[in-house]
Amino acid sequence: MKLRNIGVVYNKERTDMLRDRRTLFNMLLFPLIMFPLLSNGFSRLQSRVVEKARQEASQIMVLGAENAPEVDAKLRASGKFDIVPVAADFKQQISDKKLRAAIEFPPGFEQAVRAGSAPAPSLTVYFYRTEMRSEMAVRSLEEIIGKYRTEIVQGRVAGHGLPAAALTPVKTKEQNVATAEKVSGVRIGGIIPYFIIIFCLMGALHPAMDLTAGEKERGTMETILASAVSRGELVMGKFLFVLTTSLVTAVVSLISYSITLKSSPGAVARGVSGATRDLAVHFSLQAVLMVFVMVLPLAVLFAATLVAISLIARSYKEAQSYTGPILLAVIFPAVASILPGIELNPALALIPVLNVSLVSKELLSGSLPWGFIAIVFLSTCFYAAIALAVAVLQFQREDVLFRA
Amino acid sequence: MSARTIGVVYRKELMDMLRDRRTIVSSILVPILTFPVLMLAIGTLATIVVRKATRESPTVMLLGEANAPSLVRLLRKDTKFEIVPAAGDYVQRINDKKLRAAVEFPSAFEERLRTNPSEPQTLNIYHYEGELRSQSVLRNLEEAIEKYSDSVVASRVATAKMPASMLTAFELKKENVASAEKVSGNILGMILPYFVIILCLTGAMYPAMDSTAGEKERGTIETILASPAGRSDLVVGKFFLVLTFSIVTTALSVLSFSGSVLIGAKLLAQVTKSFVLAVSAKSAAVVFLMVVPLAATFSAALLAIALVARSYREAQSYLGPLIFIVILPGMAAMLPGVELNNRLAMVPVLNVSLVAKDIFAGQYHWHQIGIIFASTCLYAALALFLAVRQFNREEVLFRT
Repeated sequence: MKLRNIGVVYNKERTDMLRDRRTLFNMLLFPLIMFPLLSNGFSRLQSRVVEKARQEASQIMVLGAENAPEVDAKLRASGKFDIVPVAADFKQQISDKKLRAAIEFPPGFEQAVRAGSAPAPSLTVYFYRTEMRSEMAVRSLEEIIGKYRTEIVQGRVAGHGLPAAALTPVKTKEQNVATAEKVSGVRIGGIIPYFIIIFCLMGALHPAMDLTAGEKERGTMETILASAVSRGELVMGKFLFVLTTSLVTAVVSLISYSITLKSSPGAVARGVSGATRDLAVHFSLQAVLMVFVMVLPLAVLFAATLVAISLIARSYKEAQSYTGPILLAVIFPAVASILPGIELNPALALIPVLNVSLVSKELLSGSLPWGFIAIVFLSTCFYAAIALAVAVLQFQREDVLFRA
Repeated sequence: MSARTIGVVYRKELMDMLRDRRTIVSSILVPILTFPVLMLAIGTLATIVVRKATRESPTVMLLGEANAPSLVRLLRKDTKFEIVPAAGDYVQRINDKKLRAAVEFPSAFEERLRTNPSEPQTLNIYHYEGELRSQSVLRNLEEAIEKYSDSVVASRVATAKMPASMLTAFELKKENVASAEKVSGNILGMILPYFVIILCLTGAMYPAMDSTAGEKERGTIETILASPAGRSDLVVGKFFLVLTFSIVTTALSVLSFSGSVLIGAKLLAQVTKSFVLAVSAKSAAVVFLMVVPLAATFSAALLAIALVARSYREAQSYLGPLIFIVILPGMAAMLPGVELNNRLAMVPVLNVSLVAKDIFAGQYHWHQIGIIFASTCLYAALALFLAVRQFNREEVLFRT
């Protein structure tokens, strides 16, 4: 095998690919510009819509308002509700989403509360479970009712000569001691390796099929086999080119992903959970580089496997139906790293794809488990070498190259 | 245009498509198997992980135990944690996930609670924010401390000769008035329409490309044009084939999806509370009716676009970005604040996903359902018209 010949094959494939400007557009421009633009716009829209829903006064009905004039006045004064006249079909209205919630005070409610009679009176809140606006209205109701309850109990306690503070003897203060890097590591550290792995595979998919089955389909396979380069050089050149596109796609996507995260920090998290804290993203450059080092042999494994499999197909279309299931086989272990609670151990460190995604998660959260890093790296290199050997072997077999 | 010729074209395309067994595998079998397999695998995995996590009792460190002997006794009795001896490097250990949380009792904690009821005492709990096990320990610790706090209040109240019942001013009851169908439909309605719309599009994609650009690539387009079938017969025949594929794959995927949700629900029921899934046949039928014109719009639009391409690969690069354009309005319907109104009922894709969301939740706005059905049919007709126009243009058919 000569390095120069491999280079010639590689350059030929590169020219072939870059000539098609549309491929370039799909591979580079689209993820780099469209993805951040779209998701940024979407998360902005999302937080605006949710914010609007939160500020909007929710329509509620107060049943038996005459039994609780004080609470009724508080609800009206809060400005959070649009109190509609009482109607008998309130349950139906709630399940039709015309009414968000209803609160019912039993007869003599406030009198009983003031008198402090036992058993304590009870009030009922009607709502639509899982419907977001209904649940929001219930939360606001509970807040106001809760304040009222505290006032009442504090008044009773004061009547017995105890200070109001006596009701809350112990306060807990939650203090996060994990570093910012570790926190974002567990929050989104699982998603980043997942994306990198999927994009590596996606980037390799199209050229792997085009360079093998596509070549057969266009009828240029014979020409290329008749050229001065050997079979081994041919495979290596093709393989290296597939590897390049795989890595380029992964890098480009990672860049676009970080632009997206940076330009809309926490917009999604804020919008959905109503959390006030931003989803801070802290990753060191060193960690990201380490992740790439771990992904490198995996990309080799993908490129070699895809070349070996697509070579069996007689046409681009046939190759697509062979490689489809591979996508699934890869998504599975990659998704597993997102699931909370799965932690790296020596057995898992040998499972391809899963090991890389788990170790990358660790790396991104700031720890450097050297033992695992070595096992994962070496085992993935081993799998990659096998796949490459299979690809070379496939190219030597006439029955694969010229399948009828 | 004659229905007979259209039928002939349709049958020819269908035979072409079904002849290739690999197509059937990749476009029908794979999507059907994907959901259940994914669901089963992830469900099993999640069950194992959760079981394991609940079996292991997480480690907690108590700092300044001497300051709170009775609370420490309570915590030691709790089987939810394993108390480890105090050490100075607890912050590091929490960071390394060797220790899940640490509680710090300030000096003379219990003594001050006894002597000075007007001064609340503060406990620090050190934890790892966002880490699953640390968070669950945090919750359990707070629960145990809350219980202790309640007992302190009870004893204070008792010393002040106040009846304990006076601490509860009133009870607050919450009653869900929506039926089980509405509760689960509300969740299902957020996700399912989105899936259905994407599946309709992806299901139409492959046959649309194959019967236009693919035909050009194989060099058979001239042959077919030379046949006695008119151009519009050809387009309509091909259109029906694409539509069939789109609807069949969508229907099959939805079926397999429901099957896998049932499997998943069974698995989940082992670890969490039971999850009721109820969809009425009526809502499924109405949603299906709304989706058919949308699938027709997709099929015709994809045909019109794919015809411009000279090869299968070129067609792929034209149609790929379309998914993003369709995903956005599909996702917008998942937002809780977006609700159907007469204006939104005219926005292509978005209207169908919004109305499907309401239908799954058991709400039928017949007036808007009518508008949406009519407007989607109009868009489908426009797209089909465009496809026929494209087929009549020589520069599109024989682009160089």
